[in-house]
Amino acid sequence: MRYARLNITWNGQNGDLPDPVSWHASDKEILQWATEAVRSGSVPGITKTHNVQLHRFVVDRFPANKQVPEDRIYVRPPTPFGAFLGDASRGINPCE
Amino acid sequence: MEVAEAAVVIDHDDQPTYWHLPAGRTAASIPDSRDLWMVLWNGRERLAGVAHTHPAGVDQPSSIDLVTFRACEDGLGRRLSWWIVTPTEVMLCSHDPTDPRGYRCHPDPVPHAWVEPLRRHSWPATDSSAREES
Repeated sequence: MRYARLNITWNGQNGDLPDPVSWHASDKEILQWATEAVRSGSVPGITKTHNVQLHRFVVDRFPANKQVPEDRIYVRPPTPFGAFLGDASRGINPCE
Repeated sequence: MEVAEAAVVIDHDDQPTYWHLPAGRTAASIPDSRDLWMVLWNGRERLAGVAHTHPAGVDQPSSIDLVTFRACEDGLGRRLSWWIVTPTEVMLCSHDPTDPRGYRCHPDPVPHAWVEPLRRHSWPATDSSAREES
């Protein structure tokens, strides 16, 4: 099983989940885990927040390299503009 | 030069700090960009907002724009100013819980120095404006 460190940005704060997550998890799963982690206050560096909304956020995956010797997954806000509907797998759905 | 949307990050002194002209932008869209998010995050202490163009002249945010406004503010933990620059108007959008979209936009009377450069990154200068610059 391949694991990755999950980093979350929310409400001006940023932190890593203490336990690694599956590298192969879907974006939807990652966003759900991140949401639950922030709601439960289990992300060091991020204040426990009940009404956290991460379902529109984006999941970036970076494999380990010489500088960062572990797989990393980042949950961050999306930044597209305009009529671009994006890729549904990137968590951007204007109809939600 | 092809017509394409463009964006610029603005600081508290109304100065442009990052021109966002990524590959893949079109006349109607700018794609998602981790680079732009990192600019916003790393510069968040002096960040005032982001302006982007609507070359077709639509002076209101799209549904994608609204998702970006909300998500970036959620990530940063504070509200920002969001400008939409058309060929003839500059609209300033900001969070307004009384608006069904969550954001209200109104004409911005401030003569920002970055507006015309942003327009020039988005569509070719007209003959008259080209003559004015020469």
